[in-house]
Amino acid sequence: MLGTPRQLVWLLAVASFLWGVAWAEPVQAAGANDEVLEGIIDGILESEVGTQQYDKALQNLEAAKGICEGGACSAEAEAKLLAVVGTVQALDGQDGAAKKSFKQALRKDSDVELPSKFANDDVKSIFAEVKGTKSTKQAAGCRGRFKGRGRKPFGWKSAEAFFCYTEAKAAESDEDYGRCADEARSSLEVESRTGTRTVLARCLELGNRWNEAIAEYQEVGRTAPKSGQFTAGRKARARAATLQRRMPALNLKPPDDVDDLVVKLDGTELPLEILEAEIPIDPGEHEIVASGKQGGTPVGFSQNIELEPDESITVLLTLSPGNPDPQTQKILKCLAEGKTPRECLPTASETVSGDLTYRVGVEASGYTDDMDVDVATPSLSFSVENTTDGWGVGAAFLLDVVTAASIDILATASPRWREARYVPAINGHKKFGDWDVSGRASLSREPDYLSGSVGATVTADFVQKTVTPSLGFEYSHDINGRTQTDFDVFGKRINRFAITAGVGMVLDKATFASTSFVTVIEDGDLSKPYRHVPMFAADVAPQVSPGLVIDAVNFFREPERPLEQLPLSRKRFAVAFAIAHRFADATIRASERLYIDTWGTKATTTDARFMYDLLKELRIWPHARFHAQTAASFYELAYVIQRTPDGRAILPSLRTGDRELGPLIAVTVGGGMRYEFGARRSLGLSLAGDFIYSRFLDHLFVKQRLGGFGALGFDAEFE
Amino acid sequence: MIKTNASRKSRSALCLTIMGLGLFFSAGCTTVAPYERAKLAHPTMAANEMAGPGEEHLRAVTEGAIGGSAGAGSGCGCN
Repeated sequence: MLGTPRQLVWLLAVASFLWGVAWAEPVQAAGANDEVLEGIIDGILESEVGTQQYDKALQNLEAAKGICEGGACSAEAEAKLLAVVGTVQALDGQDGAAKKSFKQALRKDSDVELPSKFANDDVKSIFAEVKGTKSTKQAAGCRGRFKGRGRKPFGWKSAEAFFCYTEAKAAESDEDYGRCADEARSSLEVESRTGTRTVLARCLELGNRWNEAIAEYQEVGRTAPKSGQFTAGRKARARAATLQRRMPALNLKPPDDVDDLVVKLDGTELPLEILEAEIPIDPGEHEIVASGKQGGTPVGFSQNIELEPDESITVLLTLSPGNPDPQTQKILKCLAEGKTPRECLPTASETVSGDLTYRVGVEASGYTDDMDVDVATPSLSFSVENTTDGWGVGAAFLLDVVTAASIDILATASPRWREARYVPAINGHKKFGDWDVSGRASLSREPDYLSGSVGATVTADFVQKTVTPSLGFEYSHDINGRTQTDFDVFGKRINRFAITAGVGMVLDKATFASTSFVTVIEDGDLSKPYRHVPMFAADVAPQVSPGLVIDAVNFFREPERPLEQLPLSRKRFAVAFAIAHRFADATIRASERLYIDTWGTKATTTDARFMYDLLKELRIWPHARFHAQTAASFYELAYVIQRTPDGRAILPSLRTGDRELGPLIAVTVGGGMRYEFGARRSLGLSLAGDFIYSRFLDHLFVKQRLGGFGALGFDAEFE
Repeated sequence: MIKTNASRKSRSALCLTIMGLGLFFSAGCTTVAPYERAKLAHPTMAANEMAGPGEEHLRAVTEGAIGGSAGAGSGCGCN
């Protein structure tokens, strides 16, 4: 029996944790190759067809066909592959080859559709032509094109029927036997005539649809004599007999030891009863697909045949588990190891080692606000990556130029100043199987502050990269100095240790989420050596209101002007959650950060971007961010100075004028865009801008701040 | 034994964290085969921060909090 409700809650908590961690579905075996093929097709469409690398796409699609050997793919899957091949051929201007591919696709699955994102109007037109539905008018046939007027020769009852008859004859002359048969049938719908049916039968015969042709010839042979057309009837009966005698025959020999046998001829499932009997079949190309189970193992068979008139063939249905060629086996093994289709498919110029990718990035950003603070931040980055061997190195340089004449500066009667900060950094990483180890180092130098940091992170890929935990460590050593004073003369040392633990998870095919925990331990005096904090008498302090102007503060303050004094250590903790979901043409990214520290500050920060692909090359996004924080425990709007009986001042041991240690709310709205261009869209231009409104809830001099941020970036990737 | 308010609160927080982690891990238990990750491979789905170096530095200076991105501290006397 469970004890108290508290114990029940604990039990539920532990049970849910264990259930969540332990319940991990095992990686499913590949099984039938339909899903493999579909994933490869999607990968080729996105990476090669999307960047107009048609030759490469066709090579990879040809390699992908090997996955279906031995009947390892369904007809629908093979039809989709052929439809994509036809699409790429049409996009590449190979109309004839595209028609052939579409024809083969429709034979496997008459309902196959084109990849809508990549099939332009020309591709759709070719496909429609093959399917026999070139345009709305042609889909309606001759009856849709008939204008309602026309001559009606002697003997005809309907001008429309005559119109369709002439269209059928024209199609026959053009050797378009499929259209000929359709138009002839349309004519027969309106007016049944021997001549029209004869044309129909002849077009069906010439189009290798002999079974249908025989039926029409026999119908002519039956009906023509009734209207006195005995010769036509006799010829039709003779022709039907000839075709029946010359009709090709197919004999399918099924295996003895296969269960759940399914045999399809040109996509149509055959009843098992007709196997081993002679099947009359139209001359031309046909496809035979069989599937079943042998001792519980799925087996398959696939063969294309071509039959001539008078020919009779026997096909042994020798089903097997499927034995892909070595190249296909290599592809399947690569996919099973967790790599993407792009990494697994052979490339035109395949390299084994030394496959380097270079990236260069330049950004110029700037910030300005209504408190006369202006910041210009140009930066440059460079990296080299070897995806084959799994290593990369990079370097970056950032310059911060700050010009300030803010209220803090004016409050101490200081002049406007300008300062530059230089930040060089390097980084590198190396993969060891499923583990990645990265390191980084950076330096920050400005006239009154020096900082150096080093860090390392270990990341692992579990469950085929669906779970990616990481653990990082960073150490920095800062010197907090004074302008125009050597760091050895005046420099407060600060040590900072940070540990970051996180995990990224693939939630579904289009969603990625991550969570991270950060702990930062700071040890040292971070107090600003220039920030004087106004002091007030005990009876005056309660009357000081937020936003009190400089002159009023100077009027009410006590004469003492102590410098800021912060605690000598701080422990900071943050937990962040982030999620990204990809729709068809857009991605939404959102994150939430919760923060707390031993100075008493608590904060919440929410950020979201909605990135929409206007075009394949152009992406835009709105951006919104909300930040709210409470004050540090020692933060005061108006600090009170105590006096001893002899008038000496007793200052508060901790005091600050830093607005970012007080309660504040900041709202950011903005947006950006990215344009990719060049070969394989390897060049990118990014533009982003934000308006930031900050509301200081309990601070002297100023209640709010409106700032603007903008960044223009250019990046290039080349091999 | 007398339990203080702080002790009760921290145990409740730990309990909620364990349940939250359990839910989080169980939500991630769906297996996605490598060949189904075309959408996940889109550049906007990268795990790294979307903000550039200038924006990251601005946030570090104007917000009194850290975490949620690559940096663990400001590394500058910017405030």
